[in-house]
Amino acid sequence: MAIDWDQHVLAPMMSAGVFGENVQPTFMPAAGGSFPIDGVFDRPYHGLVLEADGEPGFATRKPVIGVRLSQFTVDPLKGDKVFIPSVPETYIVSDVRPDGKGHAVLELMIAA
Amino acid sequence: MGTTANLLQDDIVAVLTGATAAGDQVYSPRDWPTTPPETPILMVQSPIERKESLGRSSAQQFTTTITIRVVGRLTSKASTGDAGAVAVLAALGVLQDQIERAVINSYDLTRRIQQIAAVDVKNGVSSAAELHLGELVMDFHLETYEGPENFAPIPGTPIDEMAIYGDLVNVFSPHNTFTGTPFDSAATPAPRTEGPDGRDEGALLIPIPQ
Repeated sequence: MAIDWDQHVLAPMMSAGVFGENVQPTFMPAAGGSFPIDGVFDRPYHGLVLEADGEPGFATRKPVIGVRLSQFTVDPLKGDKVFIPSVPETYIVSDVRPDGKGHAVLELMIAA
Repeated sequence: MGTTANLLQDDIVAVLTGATAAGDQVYSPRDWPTTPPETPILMVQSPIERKESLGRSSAQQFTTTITIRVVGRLTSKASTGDAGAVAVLAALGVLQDQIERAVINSYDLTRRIQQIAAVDVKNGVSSAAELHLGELVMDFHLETYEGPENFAPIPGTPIDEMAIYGDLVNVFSPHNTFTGTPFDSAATPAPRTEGPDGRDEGALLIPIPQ
């Protein structure tokens, strides 16, 4: 790849105090251990309809965190956990969506 | 007044309140979106009604099937593996059982209807939000009879009193003419040798409570 996206784009943009969380989130793989990561966290409104026809649906949130895969020795997996100090809440990763350029969006759910 | 569906809807709200995991969170109809802190929640609506004629002859009669829809919603936090979704599905099963026991066993409901013609149930679980969301939709198809008495016009002027007047044949005035009574046109013209004379000798007034 001609451009090192992680070095030139992700690292400066996602560091703490830029778009990243001021206090670094803690990543906890299901396999064990934990380490701090840079992460851009958001949890926007999310409305959805399940079985009933049309309105009214559920009004809820969809938490996501953007991470740099270079900070992981093993890529994040479904079932891993991440603690977000600013909320504060521990989430479970329900899906991993890499963008192919070193960044991945982790879809999150509140952990029991 | 209101339709039979309104009555049945109120009945079902009454029997469900306090009878399920949703406690008194039973709403009708509830058209606001549901937020997770409100769950578990039940919503009762009557979206569909079908009147089927009993035949071509005489006054119109129907077998009317009213669909009362009970929507139950609940949430669960996520756990490693599939445990959160399993918990939601199990809780939906418990909720369905509680709703069935409350509704199908209700005398207040069954005395108004001919039968529960059918019950349709569907449920679903989703992980598309911050919590596992579960939804249960139960359609109770309640069969009732409707006939001419259900469609008679409602009188615009309420009847608040009934009066019975007595103008006697053997008690009369030979010479006087009485006017202003409801039956003065039926009097024998004066002079007369017997009644009626147009005067009420006795009256019975019956007030009708509204």
